[in-house]
Amino acid sequence: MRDLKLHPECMSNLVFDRVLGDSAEPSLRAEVLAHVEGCARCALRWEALAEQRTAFLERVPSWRHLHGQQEAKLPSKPARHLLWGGGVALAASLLLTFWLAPNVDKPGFRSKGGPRIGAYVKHGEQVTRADTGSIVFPGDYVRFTYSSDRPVYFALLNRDAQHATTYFPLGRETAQLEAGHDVALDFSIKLDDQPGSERIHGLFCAEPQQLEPLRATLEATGRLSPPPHCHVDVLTLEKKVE
Amino acid sequence: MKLTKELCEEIYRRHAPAAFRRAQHVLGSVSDADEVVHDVFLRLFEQPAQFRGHSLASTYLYSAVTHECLNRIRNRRTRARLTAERMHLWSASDPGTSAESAAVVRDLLAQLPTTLAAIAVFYYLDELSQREIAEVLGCSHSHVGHQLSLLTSWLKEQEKALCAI
Repeated sequence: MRDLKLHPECMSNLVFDRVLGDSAEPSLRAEVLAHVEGCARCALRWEALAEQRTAFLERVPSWRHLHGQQEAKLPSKPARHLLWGGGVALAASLLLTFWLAPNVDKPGFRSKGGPRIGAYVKHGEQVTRADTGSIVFPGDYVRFTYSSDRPVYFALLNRDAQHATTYFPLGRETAQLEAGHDVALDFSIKLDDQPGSERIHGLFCAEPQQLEPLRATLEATGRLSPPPHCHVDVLTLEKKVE
Repeated sequence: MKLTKELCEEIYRRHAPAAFRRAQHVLGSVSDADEVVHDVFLRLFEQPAQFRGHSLASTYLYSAVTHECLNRIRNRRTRARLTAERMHLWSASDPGTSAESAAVVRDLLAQLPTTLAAIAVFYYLDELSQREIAEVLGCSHSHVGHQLSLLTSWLKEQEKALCAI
């Protein structure tokens, strides 16, 4: 797949935005300005971005202006900071008392209580519920679910024979999810053609967690020890060739 | 870290125009884009810890604005309004795209899983490279490549389905 829709020497809007917003290193700024001078397409793009930037700041010149404008649309709501403060205190007290016994990771065994992950497997046109130890096949689609009786910070990681991948979320840290039972995550994966075990780890936490250190540990050791105030549920699918 | 009013205004001046431009590009509405910018910056100013200095403000805001826009597209009422009205131009800088095309694109974004929708915005709308997408989202380059492959396959299936109608 071609990586850049722009010509390889051209810069993206992300780079242009950094320079226009005065948040780029001087060397990058010089590089961008030199390129814009010599590239007709990028010169037009640069001019358009600069004009749009000016138009926005003329219309909404400051944060105070935008905040006042938006707050004026909601006269019946209590002051946002007071509402937020109360909500955070309550949520924090609930989340920090969240604790479950560590998951016992044994083949064929998953703890019945506590938050858990699940999966539905689509094999051809047939959809079935999967549990640990279920047989799956290359080309099958798998959609994962989670169940938790309280809001959690959640991530889904996979460990196959060699690598660990973060399936969900896409960002740097766990995603905050509402309580729910068997809630389907909004993506599915297609299984590749390498036979073996796919060990999917559902990480349920009371506080946000950075994901890359956990993924790296899972890849290096094959195990994911739950950080403090977290619970890990493991679902193992056995991928076989038909 | 507590943000002073002056620092908030500085962050706003530097980054809000780009945030607004991108939000308007995705949502097609000035008022919706203003709301997105306001909500994203309010969260940032109220909880600066979520930024944590792990990335540049620009990459954090690219990601935050995109996810906020996609959440709004998924809101049923917003979707119905955007699809029904079909009045908004896709972008002032791209006058060749029709309002109907824009509505179709937003409908497709609403159908995509969050992860793929965000990557679609970064790749096709912002024209970011895979490396830049990985930087914005805080994931690996190979993961972005894998997701782009999934996205391309999904889009091809949608294209076939549309042509078959």
